[in-house]
Amino acid sequence: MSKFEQLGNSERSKGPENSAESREQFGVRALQAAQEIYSDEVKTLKHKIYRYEALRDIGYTVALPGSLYIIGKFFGVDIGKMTGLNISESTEAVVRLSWLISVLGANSAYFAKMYFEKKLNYFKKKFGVLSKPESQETK
Amino acid sequence: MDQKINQSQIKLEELFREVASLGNISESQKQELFTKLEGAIVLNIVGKLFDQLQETGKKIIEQKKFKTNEDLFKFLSSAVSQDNFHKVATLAVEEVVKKFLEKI
Repeated sequence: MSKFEQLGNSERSKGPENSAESREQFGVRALQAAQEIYSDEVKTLKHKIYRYEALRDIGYTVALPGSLYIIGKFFGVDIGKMTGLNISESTEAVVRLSWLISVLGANSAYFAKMYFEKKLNYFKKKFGVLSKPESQETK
Repeated sequence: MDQKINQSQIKLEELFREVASLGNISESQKQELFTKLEGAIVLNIVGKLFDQLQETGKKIIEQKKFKTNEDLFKFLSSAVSQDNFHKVATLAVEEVVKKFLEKI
């Protein structure tokens, strides 16, 4: 079974238990999910670097907003040069993240796009939202 | 500017905003959500880069004193190839995005 099919199955299994969930509840859950994933990654990295005393002062501060652009720069992925934009920690997070994934490579952008598109369609159906909520409000 | 990168950035930004909008969360909560995902991706990348270090690289880390993230990133970029960085970064994006979407 492909990763994509597995993701589809996990959505179906969540369907009945979450069928009465409001959009507000979903928003809170999404926020919690992001926090949990972040905390898991902190734990994983801490476990990987615990033996290095030299890294204890840095630890998970590598996750500070903007760090991805800095690390990319050292590996020849200079978002500033590639885009002409000056992206920093003060740039809107959604813009930072989408630029980041795009410049990391076609595969990264493909995976993120496919996964988000599939899930978005599932949620639109679940919440009865057929077109973009923001554009509907502005009409 | 690379047109392909620009197009994929616009598409991703649109998808991210749409998913966040479905949750009716505030602007600051949206910022927090995407900052956490961004942080999770960089933590995942750095962890994977450590996995790729050879024994000599690990010994160097034990002897060095990194004062800033830049010091650490500079060292990692000297110890891991650019090609491997792209592979690692792609895997990290896939893992984090997939985990997030499985949880919601």
